[in-house]
Amino acid sequence: MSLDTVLLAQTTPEREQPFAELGLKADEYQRIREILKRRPTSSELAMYSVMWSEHCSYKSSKVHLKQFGEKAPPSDALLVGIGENAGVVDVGQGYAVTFKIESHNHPSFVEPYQGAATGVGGIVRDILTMGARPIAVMDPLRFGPADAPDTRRVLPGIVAGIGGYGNCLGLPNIGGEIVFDETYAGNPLVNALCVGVMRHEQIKLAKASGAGNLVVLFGAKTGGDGIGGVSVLASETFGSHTPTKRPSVQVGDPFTEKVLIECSLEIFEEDLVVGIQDLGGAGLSCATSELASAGTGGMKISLDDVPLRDPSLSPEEILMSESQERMCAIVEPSKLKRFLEICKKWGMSRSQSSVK
Amino acid sequence: MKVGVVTFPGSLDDRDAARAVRAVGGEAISLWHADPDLHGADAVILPGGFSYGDYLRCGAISRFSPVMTEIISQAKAGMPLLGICNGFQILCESHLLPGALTRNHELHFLCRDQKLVIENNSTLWTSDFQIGDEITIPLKNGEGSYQCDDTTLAVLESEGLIVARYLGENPNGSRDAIAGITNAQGNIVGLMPHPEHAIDTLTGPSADGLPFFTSILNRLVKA
Repeated sequence: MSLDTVLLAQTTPEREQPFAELGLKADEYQRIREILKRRPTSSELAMYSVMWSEHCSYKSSKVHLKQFGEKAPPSDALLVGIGENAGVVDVGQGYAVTFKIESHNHPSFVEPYQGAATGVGGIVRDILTMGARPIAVMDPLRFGPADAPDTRRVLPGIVAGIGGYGNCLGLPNIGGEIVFDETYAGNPLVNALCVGVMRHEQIKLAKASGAGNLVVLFGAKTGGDGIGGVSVLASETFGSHTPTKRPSVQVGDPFTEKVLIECSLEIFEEDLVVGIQDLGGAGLSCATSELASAGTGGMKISLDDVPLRDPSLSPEEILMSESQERMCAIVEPSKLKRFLEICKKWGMSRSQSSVK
Repeated sequence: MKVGVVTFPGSLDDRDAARAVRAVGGEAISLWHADPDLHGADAVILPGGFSYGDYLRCGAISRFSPVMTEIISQAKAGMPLLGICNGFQILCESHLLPGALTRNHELHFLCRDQKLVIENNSTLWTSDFQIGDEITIPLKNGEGSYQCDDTTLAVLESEGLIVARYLGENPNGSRDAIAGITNAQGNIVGLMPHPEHAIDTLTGPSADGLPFFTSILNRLVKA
């Protein structure tokens, strides 16, 4: 296999790259070349394309969202505010609740059952990432007119996906909304909320600090699902030897998520992590970048060590894969042995790299 | 008195089962699916949940876990064993109890507070009830419809092995509205509804589930 390495990128500046197909504008591509002082490798291009997408960077809505932080009245009850995976509110007697709501509209429109199910899975991992035990979910839904054929196509699957995934985790769905309106025809809104509870001292943050600490990926193995647009890079690089294309919508396994929850809570209980982040949209690219940027330095990650469901995945695809039920933890070397023992006990696959 | 509660990967109600044991003054010990040692448990509860994701068939994989080998052999020798929901499914898959739990007749997952009538108070898990007691405890499952052949049903009915039946409309199409059964010795009980979620009115619909746990505790203390 010929990898698109940094060396190759330096010596082949003229190689055309499919930045437009990846959703980057010409000026954004130029900016990447300026930052790197060369053309990006395929992997770098994949990471930039996804990290600079609206989905990950909120580039157009950032200006509005910022106001939540700026205009919020100061409060002692807010233990963790904007910028982390979820907010945390003090509820007294040493306890705190954390909750977050997130949309999963497009995936649910494309594949109603899996789209809605993984929407629940993602929000539950966000709550888990804060160090809390998830205890309940809620789902406000918006559909087109009740008698529209497209509503009939998506509604049963969305409802079943939400129920099926939550039930398997033992999380009661404690409420929600359903609205039918012309506005939502062809664009149903599927929002998933999760609430979790913890003690104050159990709060965890998504931050990679401490040079020499280890970055451990644990949970489900990484496969070719949810790769979406990045496959244009893989097909460029590897010609016909590329893995079978999977749907761009992720596929959930609530059983693995339940095991991941218990595994993570046991790891938290023994205080074995410095920082932790779940893998959601843009997979490893997003999780590792966010952990590193919130921390004190960078990190070195070895994609060769990522446990794969499909060994033919290219580096770009491993970086982008949205395989569900995965977490990334920052672990001190002295605690690694115990951390891996707990992963092994729960049957979670794991790999390790290092914080620089 | 130690009551072991098994945690399989995918178990959901192990914590509530342990809490119910503690609520009546028992010592709950956690048993792990991969560890065949029962760690001195005097009785064992197989809790609800989706052990092994309910893949293949509910309870079909759990039945082969290392801890079950020991539990099956001890239960056959008289150790008290209660299977709730997924635990009941595991008991049937293990052939410790006859019959099978199949998809609810309307093919939907159900979650409701369910009225039951207790029909057998001679098991190790129901001795603190009176026959005819009506209780309300949560029922929550997708595969809770109890099915068996006519011969088995005749034996269950004639030998009084039906522990509890659903009252009112049959929620899931179970034969003869069966909610729970026992073996002839009365040490093994399988129950589809969840007594461990009904031990106080703060967290459940009633405290009607408590007698299942006081029964076994009283029995173990006397033994």
